[in-house]
Amino acid sequence: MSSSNFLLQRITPYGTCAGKLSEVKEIVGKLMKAQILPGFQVVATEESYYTDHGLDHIERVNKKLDELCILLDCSINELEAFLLLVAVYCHDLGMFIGGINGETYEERRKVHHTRSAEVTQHLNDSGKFHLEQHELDIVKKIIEAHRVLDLRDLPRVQRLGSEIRTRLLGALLRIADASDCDCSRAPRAVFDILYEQIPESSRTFWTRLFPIVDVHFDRRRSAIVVTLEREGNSEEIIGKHRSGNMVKKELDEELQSVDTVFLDNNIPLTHVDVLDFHSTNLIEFSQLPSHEEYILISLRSGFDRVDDLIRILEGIPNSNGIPLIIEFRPPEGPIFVDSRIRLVVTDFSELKQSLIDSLDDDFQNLEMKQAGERLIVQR
Amino acid sequence: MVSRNFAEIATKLLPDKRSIFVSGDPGVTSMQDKLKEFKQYLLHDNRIKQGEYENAYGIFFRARFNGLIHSGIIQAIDVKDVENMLIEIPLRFQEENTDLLTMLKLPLSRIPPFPFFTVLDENCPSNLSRKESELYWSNFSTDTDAIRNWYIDLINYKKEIVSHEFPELEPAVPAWLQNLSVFVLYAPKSRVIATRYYSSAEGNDVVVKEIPESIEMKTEEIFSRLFSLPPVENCLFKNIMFSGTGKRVFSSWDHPYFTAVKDLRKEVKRFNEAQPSVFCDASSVSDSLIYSWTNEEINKVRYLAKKYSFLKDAFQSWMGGVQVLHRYHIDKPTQNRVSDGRIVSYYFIGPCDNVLVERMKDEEELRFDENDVKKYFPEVKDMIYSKYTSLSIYLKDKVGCNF
Repeated sequence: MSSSNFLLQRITPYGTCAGKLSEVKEIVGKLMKAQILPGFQVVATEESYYTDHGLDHIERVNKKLDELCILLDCSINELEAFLLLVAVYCHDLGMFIGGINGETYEERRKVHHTRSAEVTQHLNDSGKFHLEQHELDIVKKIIEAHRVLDLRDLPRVQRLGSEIRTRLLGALLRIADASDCDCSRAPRAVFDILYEQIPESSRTFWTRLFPIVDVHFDRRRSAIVVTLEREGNSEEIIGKHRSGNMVKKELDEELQSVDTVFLDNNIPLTHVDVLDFHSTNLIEFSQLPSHEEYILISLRSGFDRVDDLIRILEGIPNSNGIPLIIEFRPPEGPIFVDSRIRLVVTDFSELKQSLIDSLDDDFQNLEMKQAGERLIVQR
Repeated sequence: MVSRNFAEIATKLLPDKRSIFVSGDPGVTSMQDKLKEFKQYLLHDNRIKQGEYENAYGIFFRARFNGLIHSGIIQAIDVKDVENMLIEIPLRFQEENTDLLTMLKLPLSRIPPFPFFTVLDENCPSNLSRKESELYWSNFSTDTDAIRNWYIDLINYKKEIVSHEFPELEPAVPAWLQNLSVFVLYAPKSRVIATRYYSSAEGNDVVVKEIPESIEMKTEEIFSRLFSLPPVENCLFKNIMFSGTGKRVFSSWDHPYFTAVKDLRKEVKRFNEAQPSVFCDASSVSDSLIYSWTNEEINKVRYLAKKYSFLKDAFQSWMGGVQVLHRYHIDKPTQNRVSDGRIVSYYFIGPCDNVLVERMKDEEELRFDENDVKKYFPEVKDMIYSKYTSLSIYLKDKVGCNF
């Protein structure tokens, strides 16, 4: 496994930090390769249904941290780099422990940050790592801060020989980890092979990442930029928009949770932009596409019968008609998807009735806006 | 349809130029979109080259002929060609006894979201429009009364916002600025509201008719049965909506002011998309520009808070003194690259207005802490908000440039 360059370059080669770090890398590598250490039965690796939380993920998080630190001129001292790197290697160890007291996959996912900190403590206590207690305390705080935790609960600065900006390190790991959310984290081939074994509730964590081509930080845009591939048939277009919207919302939430820390440290990341992979145009999910005329079908949040909807629409003449927009209501939305279907609706009541008959309560509103009759001369 | 005589005039008008004419008054954005669609088709058929497809030069006009408004775009080769057309077209129309109402050089300048949309976005809580909408509907005793007033308010708010905030948008939304006759069919049992907008020679008029029973037949037929509609060529828009939820069909509608803002935001977006991209360089930013933009922002907030009572609470912290500190840094210029930079802004409540702008040589100097704030503004109270962003984003907001 290659290591991060920017952060690693901060660490003196063959120094104490470098030694301790290589120990951490080796042990974590072994754990993740399902080599359970003697006397260390709490770690199990039978869970292979989550999206990637293993060594490849660590590698990508390291790269994201590099990008963050280089692009954003974020100065990091040696000790900060060391503690951050140890935290990166250990931040998902909690995912590799079997469920406790009959926890579900979801419950395990929700507590994995605190459990990862516990496992790190355990590894150090049992002599596998050789971190000083004060180093370990900070590493655990950074690990716990990689999700959920209110960053204001972390000390802004701690002194450990040099100055450690614990809150900033927690924020950096949180954003780097959250930004590893493109298709490489959920390989389609693995998903197809394991499809039957992957619990229904976990599948959405995989499928929503399929159309995400790339996530990077753009200093010029002051944004985390997500690139979304949204080509396909109408059903695929709708699904990909919803995935992009979901990823954007999650990243927005994460970014909001670190906004004061980033402002204090002059890191200009203020929002999330989603760009179309082919045109590189900005996609604004919550804005009604700017057509002069449109038909708008509004659906309940979380609507899961898109195939039924498409079947109804296929029965309507669709050449040279009015663009059809699909809206999903909050909390999932508001999200507007230009379905690229064009409908010729001569009887509004008929369309309304077939939507009611097929979609029941999932169907919320139908609206049609048309311009007055106009004839055009063009040459 | 394009009336026969006008079609003749249109085809005689600069016959060697690519052009598009429409009967009616859809506005410049719709016309630009239609021309683009037409050129897309020609490009696809290899009848024009990429250069012509991308050519944005031309003239947009609106003209009244035989009592009806007609619109058109005639494409030019370059700026000089546009200048020639500006002289030639009015003469041609004069010869044909056609009343030329508007003539604009294309492309138009993009419209920035600042200050109007910016101050609303940054200060209005997300639930404000919902809260105000509930209050609004509670003012009326009958549904027809509520709907009628909603449409009247919507039309008035749109006119007001366009004329005060976005006069450049006027040629894109001519329909909203003229007198309108609005016919609304309200069928609460069927949960349907259908609306027809017509241009009108007299003032604004909204007629709402409620149908107590369920309606099964086509709304077109009901409209002609219930209303004495103006001629079809005066029809601007038709809208029909069915609500599957809520006790009343319109209960999910926003307060008319926020609906007007939302609609106009969409119009501005459409308008900007129809114009060519503009790129800005951070080196164009200066202390005086930031200073004047900040003052414009403060004045806009106060103007809106005074004008609209429902915005007063959201803008309360701006009504006394506002003290602002901006620090910005422009990156060293790199050959063949657009310059960028960063800006940090802190807005505080203070005893009087005071805006300070500092350009820093070193990016590290952008950072400031509580002591800095006390040094500059010893009497500040609470912070209104703070922001740190790239100058590209800052300029995108202020002058409407894009990436």
